[in-house]
Amino acid sequence: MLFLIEWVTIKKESDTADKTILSENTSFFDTQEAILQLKAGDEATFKDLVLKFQNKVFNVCVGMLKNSEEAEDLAQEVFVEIFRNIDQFNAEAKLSTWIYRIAVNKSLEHIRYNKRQKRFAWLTSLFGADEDLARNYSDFYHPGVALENKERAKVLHDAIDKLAENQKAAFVMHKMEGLSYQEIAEIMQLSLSSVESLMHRAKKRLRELLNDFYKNDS
Amino acid sequence: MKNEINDKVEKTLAAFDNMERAEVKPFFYTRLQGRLQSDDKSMAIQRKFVWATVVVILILNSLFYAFYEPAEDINTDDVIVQMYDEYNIEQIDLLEDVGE
Repeated sequence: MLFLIEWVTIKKESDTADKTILSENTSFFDTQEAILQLKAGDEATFKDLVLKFQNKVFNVCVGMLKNSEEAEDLAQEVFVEIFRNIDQFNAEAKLSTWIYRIAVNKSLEHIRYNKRQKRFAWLTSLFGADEDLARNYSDFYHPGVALENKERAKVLHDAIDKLAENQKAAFVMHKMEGLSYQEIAEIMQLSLSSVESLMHRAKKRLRELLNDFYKNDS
Repeated sequence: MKNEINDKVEKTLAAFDNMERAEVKPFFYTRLQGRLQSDDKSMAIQRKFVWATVVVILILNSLFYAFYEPAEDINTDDVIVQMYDEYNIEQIDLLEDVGE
Protein backbone atom coordinates (compact mmCIF):
# COMPACT_ATOMS: atom_id res chain seq x y z
CA MET A 1 0.00 0.00 0.00
CA LEU A 2 2.80 2.38 1.04
CA PHE A 3 4.65 1.45 -2.13
CA LEU A 4 1.58 2.33 -4.20
CA ILE A 5 1.22 5.76 -2.56
CA GLU A 6 4.94 6.44 -3.17
CA TRP A 7 4.60 5.40 -6.79
CA VAL A 8 1.59 7.71 -7.30
CA THR A 9 3.49 10.62 -5.71
CA ILE A 10 6.56 10.01 -7.88
CA LYS A 11 4.38 9.69 -10.99
CA LYS A 12 2.61 13.01 -10.23
CA GLU A 13 5.95 14.76 -9.62
CA SER A 14 7.42 13.41 -12.85
CA ASP A 15 4.29 14.45 -14.78
CA THR A 16 4.60 18.01 -13.43
CA ALA A 17 8.30 18.04 -14.30
CA ASP A 18 7.49 16.88 -17.83
CA LYS A 19 4.99 19.70 -18.25
CA THR A 20 7.51 22.28 -16.95
CA ILE A 21 10.23 21.07 -19.32
CA LEU A 22 7.80 21.13 -22.21
CA SER A 23 6.57 24.63 -21.41
CA GLU A 24 10.12 25.94 -21.67
CA ASN A 25 10.54 24.58 -25.19
CA THR A 26 7.16 23.87 -26.74
CA SER A 27 3.78 24.12 -25.13
CA PHE A 28 2.50 21.01 -23.33
CA PHE A 29 -0.88 21.79 -24.85
CA ASP A 30 0.50 21.26 -28.35
CA THR A 31 1.08 17.60 -27.54
CA GLN A 32 -1.26 14.71 -28.26
CA GLU A 33 -1.03 13.71 -24.59
CA ALA A 34 -2.60 16.98 -23.45
CA ILE A 35 -5.42 16.67 -25.96
CA LEU A 36 -6.14 13.12 -24.83
CA GLN A 37 -6.14 14.18 -21.18
CA LEU A 38 -8.51 17.05 -21.94
CA LYS A 39 -10.80 14.78 -23.93
CA ALA A 40 -10.80 12.33 -21.03
CA GLY A 41 -12.07 15.19 -18.82
CA ASP A 42 -8.92 15.48 -16.69
CA GLU A 43 -9.63 18.39 -14.36
CA ALA A 44 -6.00 19.18 -13.53
CA THR A 45 -5.08 19.49 -17.22
CA PHE A 46 -8.11 21.70 -17.85
CA LYS A 47 -7.08 23.90 -14.92
CA ASP A 48 -3.54 24.19 -16.37
CA LEU A 49 -5.06 25.10 -19.72
CA VAL A 50 -7.22 27.82 -18.18
CA LEU A 51 -4.30 29.25 -16.22
CA LYS A 52 -2.11 29.30 -19.33
CA PHE A 53 -4.67 30.86 -21.68
CA GLN A 54 -6.93 32.96 -19.42
CA ASN A 55 -5.05 36.24 -19.97
CA LYS A 56 -4.57 35.62 -23.69
CA VAL A 57 -8.27 34.97 -24.20
CA PHE A 58 -9.24 37.90 -21.96
CA ASN A 59 -6.85 40.23 -23.79
CA VAL A 60 -8.42 39.42 -27.17
CA CYS A 61 -11.94 39.79 -25.74
CA VAL A 62 -11.21 43.09 -24.00
CA GLY A 63 -9.58 44.45 -27.17
CA MET A 64 -12.64 43.58 -29.21
CA LEU A 65 -15.35 44.54 -26.70
CA LYS A 66 -13.81 47.55 -24.89
CA ASN A 67 -15.43 46.45 -21.63
CA SER A 68 -13.57 44.54 -18.92
CA GLU A 69 -16.62 42.98 -17.23
CA GLU A 70 -18.14 41.75 -20.47
CA ALA A 71 -14.73 40.56 -21.68
CA GLU A 72 -14.23 38.46 -18.56
CA ASP A 73 -17.71 37.03 -18.88
CA LEU A 74 -16.98 36.17 -22.48
CA ALA A 75 -13.60 34.66 -21.57
CA GLN A 76 -15.47 32.35 -19.20
CA GLU A 77 -17.86 31.43 -22.00
CA VAL A 78 -14.87 30.60 -24.20
CA PHE A 79 -13.52 28.14 -21.62
CA VAL A 80 -16.98 26.65 -21.06
CA GLU A 81 -17.17 26.01 -24.80
CA ILE A 82 -13.69 24.50 -24.82
CA PHE A 83 -14.66 22.22 -21.92
CA ARG A 84 -17.86 21.11 -23.61
CA ASN A 85 -16.56 20.78 -27.18
CA ILE A 86 -13.03 19.49 -26.73
CA ASP A 87 -14.21 16.23 -28.36
CA GLN A 88 -14.76 18.16 -31.58
CA PHE A 89 -11.16 19.39 -31.65
CA ASN A 90 -9.53 17.35 -34.41
CA ALA A 91 -5.92 18.49 -33.90
CA GLU A 92 -5.66 19.80 -37.48
CA ALA A 93 -4.60 23.13 -36.00
CA LYS A 94 -2.78 23.86 -32.74
CA LEU A 95 -4.91 23.95 -29.61
CA SER A 96 -3.93 27.60 -29.05
CA THR A 97 -5.17 28.45 -32.58
CA TRP A 98 -8.49 26.76 -31.82
CA ILE A 99 -8.83 28.65 -28.53
CA TYR A 100 -8.07 32.02 -30.16
CA ARG A 101 -10.58 31.17 -32.92
CA ILE A 102 -13.32 30.54 -30.36
CA ALA A 103 -12.43 33.79 -28.55
CA VAL A 104 -12.57 35.85 -31.76
CA ASN A 105 -15.81 34.26 -32.95
CA LYS A 106 -17.47 34.72 -29.56
CA SER A 107 -16.32 38.36 -29.43
CA LEU A 108 -17.72 39.05 -32.89
CA GLU A 109 -21.01 37.35 -31.96
CA HIS A 110 -21.19 39.49 -28.82
CA ILE A 111 -20.51 42.70 -30.76
CA ARG A 112 -23.31 41.80 -33.20
CA TYR A 113 -25.63 41.05 -30.26
CA ASN A 114 -24.81 44.43 -28.68
CA LYS A 115 -25.48 46.19 -31.98
CA ARG A 116 -28.87 44.47 -32.25
CA GLN A 117 -29.67 45.45 -28.66
CA LYS A 118 -28.76 49.07 -29.37
CA ARG A 119 -30.90 49.08 -32.52
CA PHE A 120 -33.94 47.92 -30.57
CA ALA A 121 -33.15 49.84 -27.38
CA TRP A 122 -35.89 52.39 -28.10
CA LEU A 123 -38.42 49.58 -28.43
CA THR A 124 -37.35 47.76 -25.28
CA SER A 125 -37.28 51.06 -23.37
CA LEU A 126 -41.01 51.40 -24.12
CA PHE A 127 -41.57 48.29 -22.05
CA GLY A 128 -39.39 49.58 -19.22
CA ALA A 129 -36.36 47.44 -20.02
CA ASP A 130 -33.01 48.09 -18.42
CA GLU A 131 -31.20 51.14 -19.78
CA ASP A 132 -28.03 49.07 -19.67
CA LEU A 133 -28.98 47.77 -23.10
CA ALA A 134 -27.86 50.99 -24.70
CA ARG A 135 -24.38 50.81 -23.23
CA ASN A 136 -21.81 53.36 -24.07
CA TYR A 137 -18.18 52.30 -23.98
CA SER A 138 -16.65 55.68 -24.78
CA ASP A 139 -14.97 55.87 -21.36
CA PHE A 140 -13.05 52.62 -21.74
CA TYR A 141 -9.31 52.59 -21.01
CA HIS A 142 -7.37 49.42 -21.79
CA PRO A 143 -5.68 48.24 -18.57
CA GLY A 144 -2.43 47.33 -20.37
CA VAL A 145 -1.76 50.72 -21.92
CA ALA A 146 0.91 52.96 -20.36
CA LEU A 147 -0.43 56.03 -18.58
CA GLU A 148 1.03 58.54 -21.05
CA ASN A 149 -0.63 56.70 -23.94
CA LYS A 150 -4.08 56.35 -22.38
CA GLU A 151 -5.76 59.22 -24.24
CA ARG A 152 -4.24 58.25 -27.58
CA ALA A 153 -5.14 54.59 -26.99
CA LYS A 154 -8.74 55.61 -26.31
CA VAL A 155 -8.89 57.56 -29.59
CA LEU A 156 -7.38 54.58 -31.42
CA HIS A 157 -9.83 52.20 -29.77
CA ASP A 158 -12.76 54.34 -30.91
CA ALA A 159 -11.37 54.31 -34.45
CA ILE A 160 -10.86 50.52 -34.36
CA ASP A 161 -14.55 50.20 -33.48
CA LYS A 162 -15.40 51.67 -36.87
CA LEU A 163 -13.41 49.06 -38.80
CA ALA A 164 -14.99 46.11 -40.59
CA GLU A 165 -15.23 42.96 -38.42
CA ASN A 166 -12.37 41.05 -40.06
CA GLN A 167 -10.06 44.05 -40.08
CA LYS A 168 -10.84 44.72 -36.43
CA ALA A 169 -10.16 41.12 -35.39
CA ALA A 170 -6.87 40.99 -37.30
CA PHE A 171 -5.71 44.37 -35.97
CA VAL A 172 -6.56 43.55 -32.35
CA MET A 173 -4.81 40.16 -32.49
CA HIS A 174 -1.70 41.65 -34.10
CA LYS A 175 -1.38 44.85 -32.08
CA MET A 176 -2.74 43.80 -28.69
CA GLU A 177 -1.95 40.12 -28.51
CA GLY A 178 1.25 40.38 -30.57
CA LEU A 179 0.34 37.51 -32.89
CA SER A 180 2.14 37.16 -36.21
CA TYR A 181 0.30 37.43 -39.54
CA GLN A 182 0.82 33.67 -40.01
CA GLU A 183 -0.82 32.89 -36.65
CA ILE A 184 -3.70 35.26 -37.46
CA ALA A 185 -4.13 33.56 -40.85
CA GLU A 186 -4.44 30.17 -39.11
CA ILE A 187 -6.89 31.51 -36.52
CA MET A 188 -9.09 33.26 -39.08
CA GLN A 189 -8.70 30.41 -41.60
CA LEU A 190 -7.44 32.80 -44.29
CA SER A 191 -4.36 32.86 -46.47
CA LEU A 192 -1.33 34.86 -45.37
CA SER A 193 -1.80 37.33 -48.23
CA SER A 194 -5.44 37.88 -47.19
CA VAL A 195 -4.32 38.79 -43.68
CA GLU A 196 -1.64 41.14 -45.06
CA SER A 197 -4.30 42.77 -47.20
CA LEU A 198 -6.70 43.01 -44.22
CA MET A 199 -4.04 44.68 -42.10
CA HIS A 200 -3.06 47.07 -44.90
CA ARG A 201 -6.68 48.16 -45.37
CA ALA A 202 -7.20 48.40 -41.59
CA LYS A 203 -4.20 50.72 -41.18
CA LYS A 204 -5.25 52.82 -44.17
CA ARG A 205 -8.79 53.18 -42.83
CA LEU A 206 -7.49 54.00 -39.33
CA ARG A 207 -5.26 56.76 -40.77
CA GLU A 208 -8.30 58.25 -42.53
CA LEU A 209 -10.43 58.07 -39.39
CA LEU A 210 -7.73 59.54 -37.17
CA ASN A 211 -7.02 62.29 -39.69
CA ASP A 212 -10.70 63.26 -39.66
CA PHE A 213 -10.78 63.10 -35.87
CA TYR A 214 -7.78 65.41 -35.38
CA LYS A 215 -8.95 67.81 -38.12
CA ASN A 216 -12.29 68.22 -36.38
CA ASP A 217 -10.59 68.36 -32.98
CA SER A 218 -8.26 71.25 -33.88
CA MET B 1 -0.82 72.14 -39.49
CA LYS B 2 -0.94 69.10 -41.78
CA ASN B 3 2.35 67.87 -40.37
CA GLU B 4 1.06 68.31 -36.85
CA ILE B 5 -2.03 66.20 -37.63
CA ASN B 6 0.10 63.54 -39.36
CA ASP B 7 2.35 63.43 -36.33
CA LYS B 8 -0.64 62.96 -34.02
CA VAL B 9 -2.03 60.20 -36.27
CA GLU B 10 1.27 58.30 -36.28
CA LYS B 11 1.65 58.65 -32.52
CA THR B 12 -1.92 57.43 -32.02
CA LEU B 13 -1.37 54.45 -34.31
CA ALA B 14 1.64 53.56 -32.19
CA ALA B 15 -0.31 53.87 -28.91
CA PHE B 16 -0.64 50.10 -28.60
CA ASP B 17 3.09 49.46 -29.11
CA ASN B 18 4.72 47.91 -26.05
CA MET B 19 1.40 47.65 -24.27
CA GLU B 20 1.04 45.03 -21.56
CA ARG B 21 -1.39 42.17 -21.81
CA ALA B 22 -4.61 42.79 -19.87
CA GLU B 23 -5.03 40.33 -17.01
CA VAL B 24 -8.13 38.71 -15.57
CA LYS B 25 -9.18 39.40 -12.00
CA PRO B 26 -7.91 36.93 -9.37
CA PHE B 27 -9.75 33.60 -8.89
CA PHE B 28 -10.85 33.44 -12.51
CA TYR B 29 -10.67 29.63 -12.47
CA THR B 30 -12.81 29.42 -9.31
CA ARG B 31 -15.48 31.57 -10.93
CA LEU B 32 -15.26 29.45 -14.07
CA GLN B 33 -15.76 26.28 -12.02
CA GLY B 34 -18.85 27.82 -10.42
CA ARG B 35 -20.20 28.68 -13.83
CA LEU B 36 -19.56 25.19 -15.19
CA GLN B 37 -21.39 23.68 -12.22
CA SER B 38 -24.38 26.04 -12.48
CA ASP B 39 -24.52 25.41 -16.24
CA ASP B 40 -24.56 21.66 -15.54
CA LYS B 41 -27.44 22.12 -13.08
CA SER B 42 -29.48 24.26 -15.44
CA MET B 43 -28.83 21.84 -18.31
CA ALA B 44 -29.97 18.95 -16.11
CA ILE B 45 -33.15 20.87 -15.19
CA GLN B 46 -33.72 21.73 -18.86
CA ARG B 47 -33.31 18.07 -19.82
CA LYS B 48 -35.76 16.99 -17.10
CA PHE B 49 -38.25 19.61 -18.28
CA VAL B 50 -38.01 18.39 -21.88
CA TRP B 51 -38.56 14.76 -20.81
CA ALA B 52 -41.47 15.75 -18.56
CA THR B 53 -43.10 17.64 -21.45
CA VAL B 54 -42.69 14.66 -23.79
CA VAL B 55 -44.20 12.30 -21.18
CA VAL B 56 -47.19 14.62 -20.57
CA ILE B 57 -47.85 14.88 -24.32
CA LEU B 58 -47.70 11.08 -24.67
CA ILE B 59 -50.07 10.60 -21.72
CA LEU B 60 -52.54 13.14 -23.13
CA ASN B 61 -52.36 11.40 -26.50
CA SER B 62 -53.03 7.96 -25.06
CA LEU B 63 -55.90 9.33 -22.91
CA PHE B 64 -57.42 10.91 -25.99
CA TYR B 65 -57.30 7.64 -27.93
CA ALA B 66 -58.59 5.64 -24.96
CA PHE B 67 -61.66 7.83 -24.39
CA TYR B 68 -62.32 8.95 -27.93
CA GLU B 69 -65.76 8.01 -29.22
CA PRO B 70 -66.28 8.69 -32.90
CA ALA B 71 -69.53 10.42 -33.83
CA GLU B 72 -72.20 8.18 -35.36
CA ASP B 73 -71.98 7.91 -39.10
CA ILE B 74 -74.52 10.13 -40.77
CA ASN B 75 -76.11 8.54 -43.75
CA THR B 76 -76.33 11.26 -46.38
CA ASP B 77 -79.13 9.44 -48.28
CA ASP B 78 -81.35 9.63 -45.18
CA VAL B 79 -80.71 13.36 -44.88
CA ILE B 80 -81.71 13.93 -48.49
CA VAL B 81 -84.92 11.97 -48.03
CA GLN B 82 -85.66 13.94 -44.85
CA MET B 83 -85.16 17.21 -46.74
CA TYR B 84 -87.50 16.06 -49.53
CA ASP B 85 -90.16 15.28 -46.96
CA GLU B 86 -89.68 18.47 -44.99
CA TYR B 87 -89.72 20.89 -47.92
CA ASN B 88 -92.11 18.91 -50.15
CA ILE B 89 -89.61 18.85 -52.97
CA GLU B 90 -90.57 16.74 -55.87
CA GLN B 91 -88.15 15.39 -58.32
CA ILE B 92 -87.77 17.78 -61.21
CA ASP B 93 -87.42 16.33 -64.60
CA LEU B 94 -85.52 18.85 -66.64
CA LEU B 95 -86.50 17.24 -69.95
CA GLU B 96 -90.20 17.14 -69.03
CA ASP B 97 -91.24 20.15 -71.16
CA VAL B 98 -89.02 19.35 -74.11
CA GLY B 99 -91.10 16.43 -75.25
CA GLU B 100 -94.35 18.38 -75.36
